[in-house]
Amino acid sequence: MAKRTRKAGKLDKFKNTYFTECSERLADVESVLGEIKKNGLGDDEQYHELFRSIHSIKGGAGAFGFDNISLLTHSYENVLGALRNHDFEATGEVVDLLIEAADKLAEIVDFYREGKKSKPNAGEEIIGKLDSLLGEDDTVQQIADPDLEAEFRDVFIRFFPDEKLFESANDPLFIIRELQTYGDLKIEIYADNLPSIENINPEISYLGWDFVLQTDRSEADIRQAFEFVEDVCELEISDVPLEPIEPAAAVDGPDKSDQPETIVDTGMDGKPSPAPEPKSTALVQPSALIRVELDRVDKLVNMVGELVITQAVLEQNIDASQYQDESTVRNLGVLSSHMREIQENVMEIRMQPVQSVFARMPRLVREISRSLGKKVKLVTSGEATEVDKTIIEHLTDPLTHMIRNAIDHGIESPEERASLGKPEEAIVFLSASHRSGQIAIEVTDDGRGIDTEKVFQRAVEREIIAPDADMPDEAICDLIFMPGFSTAAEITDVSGRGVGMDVVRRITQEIGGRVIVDSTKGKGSRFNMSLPLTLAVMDGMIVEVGEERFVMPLGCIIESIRPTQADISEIANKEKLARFRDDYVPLVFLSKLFDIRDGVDDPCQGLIVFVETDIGNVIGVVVDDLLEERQVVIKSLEENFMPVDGVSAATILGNGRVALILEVNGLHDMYRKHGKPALPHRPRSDKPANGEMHT
Amino acid sequence: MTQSDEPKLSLPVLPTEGGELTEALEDQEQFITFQIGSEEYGLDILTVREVKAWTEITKLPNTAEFILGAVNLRGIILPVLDLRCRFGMGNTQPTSRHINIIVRANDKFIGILVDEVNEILTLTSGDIRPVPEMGFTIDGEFLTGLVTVEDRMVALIDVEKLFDMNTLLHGNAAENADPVG
Repeated sequence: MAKRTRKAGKLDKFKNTYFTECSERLADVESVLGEIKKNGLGDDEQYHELFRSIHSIKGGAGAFGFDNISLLTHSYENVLGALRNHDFEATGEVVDLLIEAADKLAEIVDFYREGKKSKPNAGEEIIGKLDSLLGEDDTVQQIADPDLEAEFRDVFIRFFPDEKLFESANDPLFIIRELQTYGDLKIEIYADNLPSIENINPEISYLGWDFVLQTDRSEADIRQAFEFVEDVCELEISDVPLEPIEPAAAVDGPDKSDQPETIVDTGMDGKPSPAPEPKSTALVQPSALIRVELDRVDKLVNMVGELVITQAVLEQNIDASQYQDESTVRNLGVLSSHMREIQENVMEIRMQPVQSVFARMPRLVREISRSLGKKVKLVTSGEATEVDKTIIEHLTDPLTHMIRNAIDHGIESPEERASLGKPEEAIVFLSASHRSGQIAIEVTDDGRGIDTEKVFQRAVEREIIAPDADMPDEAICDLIFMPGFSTAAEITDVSGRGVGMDVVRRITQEIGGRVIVDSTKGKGSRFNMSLPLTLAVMDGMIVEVGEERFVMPLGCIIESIRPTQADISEIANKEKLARFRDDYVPLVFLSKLFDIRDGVDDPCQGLIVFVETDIGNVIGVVVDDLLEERQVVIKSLEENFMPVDGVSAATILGNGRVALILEVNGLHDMYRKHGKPALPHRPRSDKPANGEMHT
Repeated sequence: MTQSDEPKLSLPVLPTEGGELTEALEDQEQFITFQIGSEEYGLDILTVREVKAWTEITKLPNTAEFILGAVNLRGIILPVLDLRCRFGMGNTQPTSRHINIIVRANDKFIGILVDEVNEILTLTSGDIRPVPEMGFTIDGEFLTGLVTVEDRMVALIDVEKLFDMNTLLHGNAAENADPVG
């Protein structure tokens, strides 16, 4: 029983791997189709890529018995094969159909992923459409390859799976059956490695095969049958007979029969003639990419983090010790630069372009705009912007919500747009870019913008604010991020399922980011999301306030000064301002925000660090001293605790103590709320909102 | 699970997951008991990860009074709670003689500052008496039961409830009402 459970667990693992792969492949398909749609007729390379992706989805589906996936991918493949073959042109209609079919496929994959039984008819209609492109009977016809017209010939195949073949959920029998569909197949089996029955481990693959296949298929076609096992086998495909394997090579007994046991003999002359090359592995194609479990990378990342800390400790110890001869100091410097390099390289392993998330959005936009009867064009830019995988994983939901919101609430109906003199087709612009050590993601629409009056009213109805609240427009727009703002009372199909923009804010904050919205009535709105590039390391400035030490992200520091009285001015309510270039900016005392005793009260006795928030506001943060600039390892506070205002995360300093990493935007918010009458929020005891703790 | 039947408090090897220990002891449960002032409490040993001497702590600004701050446990950052303060018995002035018991509750690691650790109790369910309704500071729902050891009463703590983040946040808002700065 226990054993069976374990087996099921393993199968689940393979399934999960398969679904992950499906998502990746579908995202590829989506983006290639997007390109084709944009640039008109696709080229062979693109169809080939599509083919590979679809084929790979099909392969797994067969192995797991996901019939509906198999059926659809099969027809899909046929169409792609025909396009690759230039049997017909990829007109706009065809591309649209391909896109529609890819959407359907994604839907079916989701069905299986969620463990539901897919409706038996799922995809039938689209399969019909696909098949009709090919004319009758094409569903059963195998895909022809560009280098077709090959004559019937004997192809000699040697297939020696690794012992671990089964771990990748492959079964040689599927491959053999597939080969049998290509033509007459003669199979010879090598069973020399097969142990006696009591020693057999059913999870190990012991067998090897030689095939002689009489076929008109190209080598590439045949190779495709082995696509899923390529990495876990030795594979030779040759037009000349392969040299038989000497059992002596594998087993010690020299007397063993050197003729492989023939199981199937189709009557062809399979007598192997000697070839000059001995057993060769040259045909196993090396891949430029490897699949690595994220867990392994994470372990490495953690370990590097520990190394960075240890190195900091070491540096600090040596600084404080007698051992400061030239060689030690120099080598310490070298160590430090190597560490940095290792760290950067390790981090890069986890970096991925946001493309994988952006690629899902066109489908979303199509679906939503179709169901709402709006005309929307999605324009994206900056897909190649790289960001840590963890952040990528957290991007989909917020992006989905923002885009839904934009189309549902922002964009007007085509008629309304026309009457306003706007183009009927609205534009939703999605972009990613790097900005001062962060990634900035923007969702902009050219719709009607946020109606602050309506928002205000709604917020009053929902008891989020008091009816007499006096708020600037900016603060009113921000209310849409409040939990409970959008409620079940007005569910539309698209947005408003009681969750909405508050999810965007929550998720963003959870990964140390921030999201704001600004809007111009009649012109549209812009959601601006900024996220850390990585959740692992950052360059920081260690600052001292009283006895506490904090890390200020280097990326947001503009400059620091040791002010004189002339740099500081005071206004009526004792608000202190500092001269910054030509402007006056507010002074924020960390000692006050964080209630730290012994911090300096007079900025002139400490330092002012000018920092910039995401939206370009500058504040002067008053600290006692700047200690050093260094790279710090980011450690989550939320993992074992909860968010703390003004703090994005924590790190461990050279002395092993925890230091908090400051979050400039949060500090600015705290400053704005502090000293003024508390925002007229009625605290909702059941749903404590982040960031409301100190009001 | 290098542990035999006599866990040593100083070793960071207490089991966290069921497994052999519980199976071997059938319906017996083990509790680690500790002292806060004159009161004695017990924690299910399976929730306890480690028992450590007090170390320097970094304050977490604008959090509840009973949250002393954060410490580094081999690269993991975790909050430390002053249980005395949590139970409304005043604030602990930590010294090097205080003990930090690291527990795992609701998938989070949390340190609990206590005065000293006493012993490991092995109990069967029959030993545990229900908690009567109580009207004073410590909320009865944080306790799973009471036991008598020799002539002392030990209150068994439900860590999952005690360290429920919502409770913490709630406590946070209620007890941290004084304005910043």
